[in-house]
Amino acid sequence: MRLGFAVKVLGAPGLPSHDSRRWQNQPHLSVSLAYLRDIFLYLESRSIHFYRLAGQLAPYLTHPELPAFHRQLDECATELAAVGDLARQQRLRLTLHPGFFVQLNSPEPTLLARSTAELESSAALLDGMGIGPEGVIVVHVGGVHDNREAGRARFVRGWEQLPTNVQARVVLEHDDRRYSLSDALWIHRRTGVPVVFDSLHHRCLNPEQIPSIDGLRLALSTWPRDVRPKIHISSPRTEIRYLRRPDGVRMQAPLLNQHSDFLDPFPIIDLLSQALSLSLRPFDILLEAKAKDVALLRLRSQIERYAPALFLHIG
Amino acid sequence: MDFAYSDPYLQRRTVLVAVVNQPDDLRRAASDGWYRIPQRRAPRRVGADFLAFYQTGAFQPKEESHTITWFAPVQRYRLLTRAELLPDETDHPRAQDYYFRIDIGPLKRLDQPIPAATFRRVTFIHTTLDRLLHAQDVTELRRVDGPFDALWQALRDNRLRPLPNRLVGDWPADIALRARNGYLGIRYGEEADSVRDASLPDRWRLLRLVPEQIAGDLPGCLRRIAAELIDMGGALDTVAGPAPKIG
Repeated sequence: MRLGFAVKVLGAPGLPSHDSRRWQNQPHLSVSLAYLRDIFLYLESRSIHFYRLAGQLAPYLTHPELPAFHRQLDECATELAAVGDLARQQRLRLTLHPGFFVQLNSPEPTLLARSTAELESSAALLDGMGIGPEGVIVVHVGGVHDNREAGRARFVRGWEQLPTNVQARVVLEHDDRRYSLSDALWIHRRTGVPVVFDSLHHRCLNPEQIPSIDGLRLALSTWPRDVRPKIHISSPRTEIRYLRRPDGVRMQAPLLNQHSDFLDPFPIIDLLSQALSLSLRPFDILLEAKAKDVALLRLRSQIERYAPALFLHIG
Repeated sequence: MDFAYSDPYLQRRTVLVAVVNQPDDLRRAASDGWYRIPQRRAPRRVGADFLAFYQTGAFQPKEESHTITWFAPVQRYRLLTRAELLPDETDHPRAQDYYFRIDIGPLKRLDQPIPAATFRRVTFIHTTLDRLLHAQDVTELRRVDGPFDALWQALRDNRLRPLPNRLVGDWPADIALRARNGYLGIRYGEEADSVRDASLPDRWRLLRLVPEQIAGDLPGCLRRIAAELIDMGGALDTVAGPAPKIG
């Protein structure tokens, strides 16, 4: 099991995840790739072999009103290949999670077209890096639009319109408010799209009261044999939220679906140990915690201390 | 973070300071808008929003030598072979080596050029725009006054002559020390990496020191370095100063 984290590096200063300059300052994918090369060297030094790329790695790549940015993948063919080579040398798994505007179930044709274009570009980016089928693109079902059943059926139709090479990379994550694991499995049965199990989402939205270990098993079974599944693990935030308003700072109780800074190791150890004892197929774990790589390193050392038998399976 | 910034925009913008030995390289940067870094010798952090130039003593007029006077926004990185980069030199022995070509915007002059009063040869410094705009000396550009600097200073205090950013085969070493029978490279922050000792060039050894080790047990790290150097016939470069404390 490889432990991974998403996008931002917090364990070392000065490692931006992408070129975040505004369009007026001419950001470019090649600059993001230079950052990415530096991040990969950092990941190697920390023995981290799973990383989620920034969704905005190629800035404004599909922005309909900024055509000057649309050819960045072609312009960076050599640099993309070089970064992909580095990832392979380091046995680094890379995945993508495009922005929330990507909604394959949108009833709005313009938004659906833009979502499709974004997914095609994301797949082309991974193809350009020479990343194999483990380089998946994670999407959510999308909005409910007054009718949940109709919404998930529209996702099926949207997915069917994707080019085959894009379908091969898209995987589906259930969420914490609208579409549960059961909805994602419903879509899987009609499309074959693999389902990403998210431990916190499942605890927040689980109308059928499926135990987490069963949910994990069901999700893992949706993945092709030759692609190692990935799952998401996080802990709910428990500390007070400070909301800054023009009239001052307000305190608010934490929301369960928000991510904590660090991870509670014990439920994670329990879930992973159960998975091992049931001989579930191997999978990778994307940790969603605000402290990013720092949280990963801490969790890894905690697993080593509190569950040494499990630690032998952690990469 | 052990430092604070007034402007979050400047805090986020990164700067790579390159050492320019050849006036032609700076002229090309100004006129053609690009600068090159051999991929094999690239620093661990090559990505940056701005590129700045430290001019060595080779530069005239003298007021710009040993200073950072010019910087420019980065526009694009390209990976090109030397032959593609310099088509007039296709018979060069490293014609097929890859280089980062960094395309930059117009050069801007710093309001306060940054001198290097306590000169120490550097190859690259990764810093922030805020530090670049406010530094009084090149040594203030380093992001972290942490374990690396403590190790560097301790080596100097022990009359050794550390060399920064040397290449060990295809791998960068953050520090190199010359011994009678070879070279000792030190990789900083690398507890486990893909460098295998068997793949090192002849006469090279590599020592890995992680920041936590240096911060927690600097004397122990120095003893490890001393043991390697003694095993390699003793340090070759020493500078005048008080008696060594290693050992």
